Amino acid sequence: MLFSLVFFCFSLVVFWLVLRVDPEKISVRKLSSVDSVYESVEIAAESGRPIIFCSGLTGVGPLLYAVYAVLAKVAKLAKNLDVKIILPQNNPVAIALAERLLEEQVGFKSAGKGDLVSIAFLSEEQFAYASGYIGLARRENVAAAILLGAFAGEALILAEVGKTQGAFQVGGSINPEQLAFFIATCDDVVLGEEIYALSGYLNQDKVLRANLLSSDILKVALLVLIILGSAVASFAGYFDLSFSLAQLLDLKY
Amino acid sequence: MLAQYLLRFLAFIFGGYFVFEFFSPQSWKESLQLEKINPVVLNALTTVSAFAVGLGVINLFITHGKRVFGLYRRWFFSLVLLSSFLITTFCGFYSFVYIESRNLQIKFLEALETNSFEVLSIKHPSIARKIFLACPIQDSSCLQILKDQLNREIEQSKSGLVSNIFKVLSEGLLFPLGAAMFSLLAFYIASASYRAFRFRSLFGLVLLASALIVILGQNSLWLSQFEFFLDLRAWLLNNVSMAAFRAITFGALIGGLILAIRIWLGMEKLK
Repeated sequence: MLFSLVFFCFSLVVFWLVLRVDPEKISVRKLSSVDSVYESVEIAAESGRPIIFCSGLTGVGPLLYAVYAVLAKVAKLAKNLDVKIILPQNNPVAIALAERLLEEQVGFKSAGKGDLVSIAFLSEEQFAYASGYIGLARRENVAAAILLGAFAGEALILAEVGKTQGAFQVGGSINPEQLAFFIATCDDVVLGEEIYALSGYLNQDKVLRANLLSSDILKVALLVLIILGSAVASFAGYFDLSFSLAQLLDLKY
Repeated sequence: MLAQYLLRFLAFIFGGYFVFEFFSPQSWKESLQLEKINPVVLNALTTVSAFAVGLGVINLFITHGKRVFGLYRRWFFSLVLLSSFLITTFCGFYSFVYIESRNLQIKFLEALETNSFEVLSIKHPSIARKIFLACPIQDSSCLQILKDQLNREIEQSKSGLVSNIFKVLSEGLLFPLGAAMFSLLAFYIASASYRAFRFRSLFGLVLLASALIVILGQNSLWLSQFEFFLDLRAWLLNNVSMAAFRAITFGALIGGLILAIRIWLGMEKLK
């Protein structure tokens, strides 16, 4: 517990320090999935069919914010290319967020293109949501599908529908179990943390860039700790290396 | 603008509370009486999130109501959806209110054994009025008859028309349909693995070989006799696959942590 607290405070400090770095100096490696996201909208525009953007079972939290940062970019592209975008939702709060995002940041209605957006609440129940998605994707004959967020058992069902329809698909999840299904069915896959990186890459924003760099620094720190921990665990039998910070500070968790 | 600042302030305060609550040692929790405050904060959160259900219902009615009243394509399915929603909600609420009101009356009758009618009637005047109308003198035999009757009514309602409609819709339709969707997964896995296990490159070959080792090691009776084969399967799952799983999970969690800090500090702007 105390380690978590130290790590949390360290994350705060790192993020605060990185925010002071000039965003121009932070270079971001190009992700292949960036091109795929753009490509999916272009394919939909060429075929004159809609694109479906699915955030799966993602609840309101950090992941949804990362997914919606990608949605904002996709929606802007869709608006410029006159592509209809469909958002099947399973969370009522996420609907409110999506509506506000598309209205305030993308401005479909102010551009007189309100018909290009369709937000549909399907169900909060996992498989009812999946069957609703199948119906929606088939009826609307989608040309591309972007599946980003948290997925569970329904991931393969959603992705297979697009595959059988010949839709161009980009899939990404933070659930490693579901990534295997996306690898088997999607044209491009966003692996775990790349969802956060993707939002940073698509939006050239100071805070998002700082987000990327600080998470990388934390990853390196964690890697060093893992190596140190392995070394300590290996040699703990020979020397007395065990100590508890909580005991040292006389704290009881 | 003011509303945004207020929202950020509230997010910071509540976020800070949960961070403090999670990380503070037991002695701090006890001295600050966090165990008493926590249920209140959690109840407030549940109440706020309950409003979200209303949002979903409104969206559902707008989307499908338009189709039904405009007689758009496939309006009939929207009608089925809305009517099922209304019937399920009505039946669920009706059963709940019916049973709960009788349960409260039974609890009142049980409390009469230790408390006087006057004391209880101050606390629960509406229930007391019903009891008084049924048993004006409140003698024990009348109260027992009333209690038995209430219990009988609860039992009858569980097998009544409204409960049965609810059961048919939820247990008879929703659950089997969900199970049917889940069972489709088996066929989808077969078709997806057929595509994934075709080797067109070196990586494809590695994937195919490792998948074969794991699948055959898991199922085949003959191959499971070879210890080396089982060790190889276990090594693939516990070392190679697990390491990749943990790497993805670590990365995603750290990304989530930094994003959570961003939201907590009110720096999140959706662009």
